[in-house]
Amino acid sequence: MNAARTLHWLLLLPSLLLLALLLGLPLAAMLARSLEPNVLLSFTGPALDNYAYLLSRAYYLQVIWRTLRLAAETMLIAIPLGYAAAMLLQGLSGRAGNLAIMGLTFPILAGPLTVVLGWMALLADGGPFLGPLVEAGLIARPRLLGSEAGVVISLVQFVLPFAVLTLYTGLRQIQPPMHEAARSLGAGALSRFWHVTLPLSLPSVLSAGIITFSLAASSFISPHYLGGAGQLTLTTLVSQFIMATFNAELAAAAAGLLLLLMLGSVVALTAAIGRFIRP
Amino acid sequence: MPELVLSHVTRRFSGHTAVDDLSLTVRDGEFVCLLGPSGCGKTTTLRIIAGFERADAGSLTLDGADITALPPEKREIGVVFQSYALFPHKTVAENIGFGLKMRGRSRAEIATAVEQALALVRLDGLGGRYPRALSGGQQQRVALARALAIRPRLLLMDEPLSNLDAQLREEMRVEIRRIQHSLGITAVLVTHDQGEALAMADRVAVMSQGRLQQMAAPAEIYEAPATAFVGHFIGQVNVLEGRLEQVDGRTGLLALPGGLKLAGAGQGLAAGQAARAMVKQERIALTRAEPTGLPNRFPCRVVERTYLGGGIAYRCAAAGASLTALLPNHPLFERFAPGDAAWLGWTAADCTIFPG
Amino acid sequence: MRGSIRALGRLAGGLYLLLLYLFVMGPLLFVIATSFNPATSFPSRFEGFTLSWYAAILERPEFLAATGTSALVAALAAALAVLVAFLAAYALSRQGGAGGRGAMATLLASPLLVPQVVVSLAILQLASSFGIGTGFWGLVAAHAVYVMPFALRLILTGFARFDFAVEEASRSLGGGPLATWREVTLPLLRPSLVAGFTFCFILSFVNLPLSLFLTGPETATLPIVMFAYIESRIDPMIAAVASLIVLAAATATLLLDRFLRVRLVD
Repeated sequence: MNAARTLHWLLLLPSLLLLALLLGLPLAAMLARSLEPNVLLSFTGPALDNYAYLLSRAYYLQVIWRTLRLAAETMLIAIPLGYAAAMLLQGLSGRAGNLAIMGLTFPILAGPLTVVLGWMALLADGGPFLGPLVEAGLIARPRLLGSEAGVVISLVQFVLPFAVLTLYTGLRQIQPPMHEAARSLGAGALSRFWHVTLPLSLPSVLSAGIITFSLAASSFISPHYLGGAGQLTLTTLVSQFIMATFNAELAAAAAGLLLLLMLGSVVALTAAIGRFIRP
Repeated sequence: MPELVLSHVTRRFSGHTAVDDLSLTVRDGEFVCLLGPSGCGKTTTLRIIAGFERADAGSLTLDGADITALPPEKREIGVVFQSYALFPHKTVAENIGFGLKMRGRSRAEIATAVEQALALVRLDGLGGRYPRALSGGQQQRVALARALAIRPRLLLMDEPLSNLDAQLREEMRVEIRRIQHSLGITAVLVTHDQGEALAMADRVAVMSQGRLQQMAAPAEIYEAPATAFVGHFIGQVNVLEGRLEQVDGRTGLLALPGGLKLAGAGQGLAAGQAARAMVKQERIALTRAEPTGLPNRFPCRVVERTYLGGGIAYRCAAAGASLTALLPNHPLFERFAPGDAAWLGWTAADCTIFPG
Repeated sequence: MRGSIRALGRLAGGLYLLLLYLFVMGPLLFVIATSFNPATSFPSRFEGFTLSWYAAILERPEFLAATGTSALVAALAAALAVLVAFLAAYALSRQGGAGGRGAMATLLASPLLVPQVVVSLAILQLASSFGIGTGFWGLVAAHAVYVMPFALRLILTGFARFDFAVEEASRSLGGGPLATWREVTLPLLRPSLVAGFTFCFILSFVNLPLSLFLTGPETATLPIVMFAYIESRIDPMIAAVASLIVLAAATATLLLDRFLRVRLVD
């Protein structure tokens, strides 16, 4: 056992080391930095003044609130859309199913920058999609670029593949005999969904919730290009602190706030959905 | 001579002891079956012999040489796995030739050996196929041929027949014995199927909770179980608990709570002691007339009749005890229906008593 | 009657999937369409068809140089990620290994859930507090950590169908530990390893936020050069660059499906 255990940890060592050196250690150092004085504030030693500063300005509170709201909206729209798609995709099998799944992940591979360029074309009032519709008088100018709605639309599209993949895998793990058993006991399609499929898929709903919320709260490119200066989120705020105002300590504090809020949201989400998951 | 000796082998996993101070000897050319319920340590024992698991204590010798610390690739022991573990990316011929390739043999030599091995397991001409294109029975033969192609000193088989359907399983029992005999190779087979162990082995080693219960020829295991576990585990058995009233050397009289008194034989018996009697179902006679020649005979009422094809099992109630008698499905034997009054009877020799 | 309700349900389901795929794919289709638009501003209405934006890329040497940098970073990061993910997946899949498999897999997947802009900033700050630049290898390592969870997932899926008894079979037949890996383990996992490498390569190649604070003039990746270009002005040439990326990603995806039968879900 000892030799096997040693080998086990030896094999895990490189990945854990990589994780520690490039994720754990930098994040710890950054959190330490966020407790240091910055050019705007004078205080000595480790203290929470940077956080207090960010939390006492209405402008930054608005940014924090917007970040959480965008993430929550994205999650709440993407989960039902993805759940329906995952259920429909169960019907496909073999090659077709695999191609459908591959196709769904394709935007992830094309890269967020490419996708956002597409949204800039799609959402612009004078762009190739909405432009002709506006000119023909079919719709009023939607003014989606620079609006929260525009950012949410692109975020939903960005997280949807992750949601579908997670939910699809979760739904696959429910054994078909389970549905047949429910059917033989007289359950109709709706009660089968309500009493069998939904409860059994809740763990994957929770995973999909955590993933979509975290990805949306972490996203930088969508709010940067589609939201702009009027729709700052914590990620774009961090980049502004670094690139425009050169305030490393406030940037670290804003990043620390984002991490804490994401962690808190994941815990809250787990508590909220976890209550309904039976072992 | 390839004789395998395990002495005081112990293997602990976190929390439990899988193999507990196990000592046994497999003689040259012998076919031994390790038999026991799942979790009894038989597979761990096999894996220790193969070298996949280390023994925490004890030692193993093969051919008189200590192999306790030898890695599996140096042991010259062929293994047939439960899942067959054929290499899916290699053809049948490449699978069988793998061991010789690892030994750096020439291509011509490997080709000849592969032909011979294929002929031995009667798969001539299938060398170019991939494993997934073969049936379960054919895959099993390839696994056997691959293990034998290295001319091992010892052949180990881990539940080799458990993935085959009943008909094929019977055939492969005979086939494996034929091949083992023709090569004269020493072999150890692990199984939880007592029919398989009794039919194939020269000697059966029954294990329970990591310990060796009894190692003997199949008939002895069946007729003269050494421990209560073996008595209970082998065959279809009635177990009756009571208290010993009289003991005379190896024979004793067991009084059951309902008043029945059973004459039986056992070892280490003492009067006044709690004990269990075990009677195999097919050793109980069920008749309408009183079987006056049998020392154990009791009037009973038939409670339940189960038709089994080759036999008929009757569950009977006699003075608060419940016993099942298994009668051959043959016109010479009487037939009963639930509710019938009848007599149960058996000899003292067929009634083994174990203290405790 | 029942049959027609069923057919209607299937039709509605198909329609829903079609709309969903249009929504997911729509932005990519419009990027490609825009790259052929002769209009000089972006975005604007279609005015015709031209290939001139593709020709224009050739006049911007920084895009070509950045493509080379991106490819090198992506190749190294993907190789590193696949290597450490393979070792980890081997440990997590093997029987008899220590417990806590689920927790360990979650921990190793955690880079997915941490904001990349934050990671980028944190690495920059850590390096500068030691008075060193992050340089080329810092960039590679940061990308490797981020793409590793994807490699881990694909390789774990590969191991799910791997019978570890074949390793023991090889050992019992005389194959040492190294010969067993060379002859049995690696060949059987090759599809997952190649797929893992390809996915990681692409994900690293197109990544922007992670590189945001970790690149200098020498190490500018393609997304960083595109980012800088868009900051100053925006025209359909950038759509042409993006279209080429889409084309490359599509080719890789189709090749994976065609030749390796890679499954993203088991």
